[in-house]
Amino acid sequence: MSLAIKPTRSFWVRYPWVSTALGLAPMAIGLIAFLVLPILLMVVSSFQTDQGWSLNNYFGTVRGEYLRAFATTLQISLVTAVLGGVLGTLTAIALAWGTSSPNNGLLTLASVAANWGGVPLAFAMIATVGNSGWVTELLRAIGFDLYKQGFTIYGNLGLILTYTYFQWPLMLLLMLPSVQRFRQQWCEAAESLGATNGQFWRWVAIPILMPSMIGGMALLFANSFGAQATAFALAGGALNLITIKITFLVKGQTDFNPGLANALAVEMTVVLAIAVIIYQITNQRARRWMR
Amino acid sequence: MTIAPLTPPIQAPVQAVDHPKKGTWRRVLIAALLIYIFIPIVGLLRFSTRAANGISFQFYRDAFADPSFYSFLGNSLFAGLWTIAITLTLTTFTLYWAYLKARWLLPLMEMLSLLPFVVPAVTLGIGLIQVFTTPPLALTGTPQLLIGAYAIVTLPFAYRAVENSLQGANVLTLTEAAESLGASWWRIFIEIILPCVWSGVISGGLLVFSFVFGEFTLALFLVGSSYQTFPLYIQQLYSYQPQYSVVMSLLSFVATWLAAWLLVVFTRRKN
Repeated sequence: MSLAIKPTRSFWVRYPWVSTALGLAPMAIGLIAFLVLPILLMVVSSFQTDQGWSLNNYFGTVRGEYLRAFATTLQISLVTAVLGGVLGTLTAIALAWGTSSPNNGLLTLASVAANWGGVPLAFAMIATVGNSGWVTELLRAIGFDLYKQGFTIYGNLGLILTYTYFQWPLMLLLMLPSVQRFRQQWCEAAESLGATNGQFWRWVAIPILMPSMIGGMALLFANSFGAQATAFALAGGALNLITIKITFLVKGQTDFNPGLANALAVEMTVVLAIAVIIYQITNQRARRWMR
Repeated sequence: MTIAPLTPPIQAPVQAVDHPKKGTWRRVLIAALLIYIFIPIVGLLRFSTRAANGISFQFYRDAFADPSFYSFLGNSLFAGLWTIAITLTLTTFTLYWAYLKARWLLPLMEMLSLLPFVVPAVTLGIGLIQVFTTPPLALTGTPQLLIGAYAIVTLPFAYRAVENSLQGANVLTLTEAAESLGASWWRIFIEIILPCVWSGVISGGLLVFSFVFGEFTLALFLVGSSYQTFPLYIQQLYSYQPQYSVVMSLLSFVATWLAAWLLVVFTRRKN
């Protein structure tokens, strides 16, 4: 068998970058058409009105109901991020540190709950703590009327309760890797140096887990800030959230105003980008302990 | 849906930590999470089986007898399968290419997994309708637009799954060996690389499918009433047949569960 290697002088050999670029082209075209272009157009048209270039769309977002929508979204996202964050972290610790190995079934369930949001979740919550939900009726039967106490599933408190359904298991899954990598030796070292339970938490556990916890909560915040489906199915236009406002500005008949929707979406993107940058920074810090 | 690309596949802990500071609060907390997850499911079950005289499964029979249910389910299946085909082909091929020729791209592609958090469905939705309403690209209301959007949004899932299996295989050596034996690059991709990443392709497909099956916001923005998917159906049904809608919500929970369970079974078998 002869291996006659001809000195190839083909086009592909002379210009290797051409084949590299050609291979990457389909992905690049897809990303440009369905991601870059839409976002670019959204940003550009947020600075345009019928009269041409202007900041009027942005002025529109900082007053009245739109400003309130921003405040409400911020508030709800912060509350669910902290609530889900604390519950999720503690549950991750409970799972990883108490048992010899975390139950796979439980983790699967958690990932189902973290992923199963949106319309079905909204209806499940209505069937549970809605005006004639089963928990509401159960409580009524023992003499406690949720709805006479001012609670409603269609309000902000109801939304927080609903978001916690996916935020709590989401945080559990986000925290589990760092909690699992928390070494037993650190705990033993603290103990042999005479640390009390409180000191162990204050000087060892919390400082090590804090970066992942803040990062996880930043992601939870973004998750809730950008969510639309659950709130939309729960209360239609009754909830004053940015994503709901945007929906009605684009799809609605009476409020139709895409310029304003674009401006709101750009502002939202800025907030989300900040949250994700916080996640990135804290995630890098957390990795120091994950060797 | 957004979480999958960020968490490693379920695995045994690096080291079983038998923490000396045990307490009942741990069990209480885990039980609380379980209760929190199941109480709304019980709500769905009760609402859909409640009848004047006890329990009835009439709504289940009626909801599944409704022919429109199958047409919406069909729409979602169609969108799901096309999305899987496009996303996974694109991801597998591009990742392989990046491994071979442009390693500098890998960290950039890794960043894609945070994309859904920065650009949520609402943002992408309003951007896309504006790009695709002007005549040369008037695609609003067509399944093509929805599938295109889904293919981009699900890239992180596919990326994570395929990259996990590509890392294990030494693609560079394999490719060079095949090349020196005279295989065309197309044959290398189909016969050598694809079998290496097959498990990643399947788990990526499951993740993508379970995402598309539950996606509501993009469908509402991009196609609305002209191409109704399963989640849109659930939402619309609620105003005139709430019981049917609740039956469908339950079905969606079961489907999500099934996908997650298959994923676990599949990952375990691989190891």
